[in-house]
Amino acid sequence: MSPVLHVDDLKVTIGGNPVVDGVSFDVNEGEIVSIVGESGCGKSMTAFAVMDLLPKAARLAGGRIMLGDTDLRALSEAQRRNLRGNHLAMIFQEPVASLNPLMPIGRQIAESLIVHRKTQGRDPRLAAIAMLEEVGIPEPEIRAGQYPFELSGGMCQRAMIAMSLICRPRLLIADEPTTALDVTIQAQILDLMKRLRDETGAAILLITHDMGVVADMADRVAVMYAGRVIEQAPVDDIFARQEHPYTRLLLSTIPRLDGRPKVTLPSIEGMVPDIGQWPVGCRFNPRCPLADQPCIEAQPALAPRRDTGFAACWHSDRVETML
Amino acid sequence: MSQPLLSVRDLKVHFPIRGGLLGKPSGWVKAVDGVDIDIGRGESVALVGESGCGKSTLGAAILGMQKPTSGTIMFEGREISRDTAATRRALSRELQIVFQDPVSALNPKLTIGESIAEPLAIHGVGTAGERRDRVAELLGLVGLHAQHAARKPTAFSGGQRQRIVIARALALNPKLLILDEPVSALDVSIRSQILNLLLDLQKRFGLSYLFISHDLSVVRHFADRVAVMYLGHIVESGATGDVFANPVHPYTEALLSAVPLPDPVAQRSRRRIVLKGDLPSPANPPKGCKFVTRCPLAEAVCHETHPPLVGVGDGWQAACHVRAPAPLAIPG
Repeated sequence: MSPVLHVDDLKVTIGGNPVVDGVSFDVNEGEIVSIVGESGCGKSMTAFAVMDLLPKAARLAGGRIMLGDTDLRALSEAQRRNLRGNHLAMIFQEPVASLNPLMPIGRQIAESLIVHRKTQGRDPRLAAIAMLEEVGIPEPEIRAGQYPFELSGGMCQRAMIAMSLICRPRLLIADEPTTALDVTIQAQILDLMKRLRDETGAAILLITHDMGVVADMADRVAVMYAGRVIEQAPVDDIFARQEHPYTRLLLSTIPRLDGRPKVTLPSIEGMVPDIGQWPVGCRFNPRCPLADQPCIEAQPALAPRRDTGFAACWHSDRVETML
Repeated sequence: MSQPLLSVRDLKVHFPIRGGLLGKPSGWVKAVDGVDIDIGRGESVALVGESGCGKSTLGAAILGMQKPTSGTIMFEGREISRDTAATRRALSRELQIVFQDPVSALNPKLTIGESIAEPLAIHGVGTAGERRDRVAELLGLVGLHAQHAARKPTAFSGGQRQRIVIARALALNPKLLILDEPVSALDVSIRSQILNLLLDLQKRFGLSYLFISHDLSVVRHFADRVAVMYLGHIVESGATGDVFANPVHPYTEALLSAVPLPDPVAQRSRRRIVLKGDLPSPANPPKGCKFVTRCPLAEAVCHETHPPLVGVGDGWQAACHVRAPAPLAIPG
């Protein structure tokens, strides 16, 4: 069976500078794939490219994006619009800013049904109310008539999830869906996303910087750095053993609830390079404790890890013992 | 313990809700409603809770940026909450703050050397030359170079700017730093650098920290003691290791269980307590225990009376009718 989403050698540029530079991955039915990385690594641009929602300054410079057997880049604008919201939906980091402030949330949710003519004899208003109830909003009849400003952040994120799921999309892209929310509300939203995945079999592409959220949610993980996927593997394998120094360091720098307090944490020297300033060779080399001549000269390609998955490092065999 | 550096007793900060006839308040938001907190010398105390719990208002009140409605704030045994502007300025030598967002915390028109020297100039410390030397020393302390002093903030990354803000906060050799979400706005790979720096500075100078954060993993790593706030009240406080290992208050327990561990195998074996609903509006809190609307353990008494903080261990208190019942009061 073909994956729900297949991205191959995706390239995005801004002002001629690459921001996404040859990214490939698949998301299968009922699977949660997480793209993890820091600001500027290109994870959100990857999501926007799949959704065909790139900002004006950005250009899709190459690669293939397949939704099932449909090549998204070969479609007309009208065909793509029909896919968006219908088979392909996205939720964003700032739920309040992503909703129309001038329209009651029930209407906003119903609208996507009407636009995609999926009402099938159902009353769109009642369908919207049922969807609000499904995402755990109490008193959905009353809430449906309210505007975003009348709802809390967690409530708005639920409303956005309701809106994105009402047409039963095959793929849901969630870009930092809980970053702006408090931790008890985050727990509610993560549970909701898992439950909906189990019930509808939707594929979920989860973009986040939070390793805890990745460990909790993802089936497979792709780590991005400076526009490229530098390591990818099933979640248990990548947390158990890393073959890229960046993944290794990223996991070891975070203080943990079950860690030893007050110890000096490992840290990553320097900072994420700016777009247009990516170093030659391996892009992590100026910050990497293992870097030597080959790393400065040539960019390593993704190669199979010892167990499962892939890593792009000239010294992947030394990562386990580097700290 | 000897006299704490900072001692807050029954502090209340209430804000009027205007809009009634003739501008009379139509109600009150009790942002901080009867909080006690002590911070010893060289100690880190964390204040945790979700948005709207009052933790930042409490920090602002201690710093003198927010006038308390009632209660006392003692610093080195002296009541400071009713200080005049002049005595307050003198106190600012001892008490400094580091904010979450290092970008907005620095004046973009000043060089970072000027920014760091500003508190010295305001307090008339040293000659211009001595101040320059002190700036160079401070930059070294936070891991930057003296040559950086002539640059503007835009030349620095977020992590470097937070180092500059920390250098400025240390300029006058304060005893207490209020750290308001000091790493939340930083990239993950930078956070550990700043946490390491803060722990190192504390060791070297015996600094006390009030660490305001919503990130429990960071708090566990950083703080000696922790106070958990909910809707203006402290619901549990104690040594971080005790509270995090065996939380007594159901809110603390839920909060801890909601933090996903960066370990998929361990995470799968944990039970997450998912609380119902949202934080109630602070303008219209429930009667009785403030947590009653979301509490999985709530009983009849919880809807009626507000539970007091009760000792549950050494330096450990919780406010819960169910888990920490108060000793029976003698009627009459």
